[in-house]
Amino acid sequence: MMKLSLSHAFFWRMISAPDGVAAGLAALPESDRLLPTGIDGWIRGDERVGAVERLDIYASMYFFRLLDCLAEDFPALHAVLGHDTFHHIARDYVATHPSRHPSLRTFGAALGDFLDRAPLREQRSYLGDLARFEWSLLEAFDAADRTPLPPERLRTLPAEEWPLVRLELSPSLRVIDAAAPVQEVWAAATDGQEIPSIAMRRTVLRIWRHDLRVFHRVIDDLEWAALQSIERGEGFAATCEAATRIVGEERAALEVARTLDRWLDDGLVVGFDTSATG
Amino acid sequence: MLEHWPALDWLEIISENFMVRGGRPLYVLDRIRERYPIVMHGVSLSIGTTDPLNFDYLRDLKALAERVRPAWVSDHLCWTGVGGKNAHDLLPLPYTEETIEHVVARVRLVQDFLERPIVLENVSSYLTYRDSTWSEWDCLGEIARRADCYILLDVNNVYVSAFNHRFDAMDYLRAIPVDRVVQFHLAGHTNNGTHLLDTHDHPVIDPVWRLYAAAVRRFGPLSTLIERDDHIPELPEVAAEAEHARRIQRQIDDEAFAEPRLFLADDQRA
Repeated sequence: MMKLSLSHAFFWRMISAPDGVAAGLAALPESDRLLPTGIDGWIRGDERVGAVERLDIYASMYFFRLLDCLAEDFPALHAVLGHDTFHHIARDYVATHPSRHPSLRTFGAALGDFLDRAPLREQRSYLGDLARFEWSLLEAFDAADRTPLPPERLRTLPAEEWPLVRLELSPSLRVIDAAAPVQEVWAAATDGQEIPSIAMRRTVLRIWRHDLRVFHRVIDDLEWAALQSIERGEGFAATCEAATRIVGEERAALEVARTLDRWLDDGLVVGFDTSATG
Repeated sequence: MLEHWPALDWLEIISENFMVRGGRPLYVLDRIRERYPIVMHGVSLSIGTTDPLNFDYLRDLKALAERVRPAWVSDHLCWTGVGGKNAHDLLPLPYTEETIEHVVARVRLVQDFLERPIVLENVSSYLTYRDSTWSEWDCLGEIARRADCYILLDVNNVYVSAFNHRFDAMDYLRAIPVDRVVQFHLAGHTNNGTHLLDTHDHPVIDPVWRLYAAAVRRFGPLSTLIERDDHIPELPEVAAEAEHARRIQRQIDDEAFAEPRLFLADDQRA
């Protein structure tokens, strides 16, 4: 009798073999075959469905469930690549990045980085960025809830406290530093329009959730620098210095104020303290 | 759902879909819970895997149960992965003494951790192991008795597996201990000629309705859920199937078909 742990391990190897159970079985080294009686000594087949075919039912459900999950989570990538190429990529991704989480929700997390390294027939260098953008939309969708800060709370703050203000931003906020305006491809694809050809042009996008809806927006260098400053835990004074390096001293204060207003309107600021140092 | 508040007795959620940090899924769940009783049905407990229990998962499951206050928490008698990997599928177990001991010990640990009994569902399967020394029905009943857990009897799964493995579905029903079954599932499946696939994408077929009537006769008019995961029709079509289940229950027993029968202590009720 085969130990349960061995049976599971063997079952797993069979259903996750990329070319099906028969090929997976043939590819096993002799020492690894575990089964002196062959697969029929382990699984009961009959004249309707043989043992290998029965395992193949599970093998095919294994792959197609993960493929469907990726197609659902990356609709624009799926549209851009077309089903066959997407299928090939999913096959390689499933083989190299099997799901390690109880929820399918996290399965596609590494697809963007995987695409950066994947040799693609279809050479579109923004594919990794597009995947990361779509993944960020999902992450923002069910990130932790925080109530946006009422704008008056900051607008009524005494001027002398401003340099010490450290902002806390929504847990749903994600920023994608993309090599192309992937949001244009995404919008066309998810609208069922023809995929536009886009020029490679650095595009920084912020993605966030407000009132249960997920939004995205292209941001400029100043806003990106300000977000990075906040992420480093810096206070408002340091954020303004970062802005000064980009737009010069004359415009910095005004531009930062505008950016902050936009964040407040977008529900991006969820809290603050006045404990910044330096 | 949030606009029309359809007249439903209760709802079942897939637990993993709501094991997230926030956003619309939990918002909708909280609104729905205000108006309907809910039972939680999981797909990733993997009670039969030989990997250690995943306590991160169990912590999230417990937190969700504290939020939802479900009538009960169910999952499946199966395994879903090994070596830290997850197939997101309900994989069949060999029915052996080793499996029974292994699963019983794990069910006890899970119930202690969750501080509530769990309910295990029979799965549809497409293969059996030559090593099995128990029938599936005896194995499920034995695990429920030894681990002191409950059973969600999926009538369609009994039908599908009976076809695929050539056993008599009535033998299955007759062997399941009556006092352990708390809920029924019904669903449609796909007939591939040589085998049936549990696809949840068709209406319930007549032979499954007949088996359901037999189950109601044996186990009583228990809470019944019609599962539909794909080709989901408008609600009235599924509601008509639920009404059909009610009619069968009424024919067999006058007992009302309403809320899930709560077997938990009073202080765990919502």
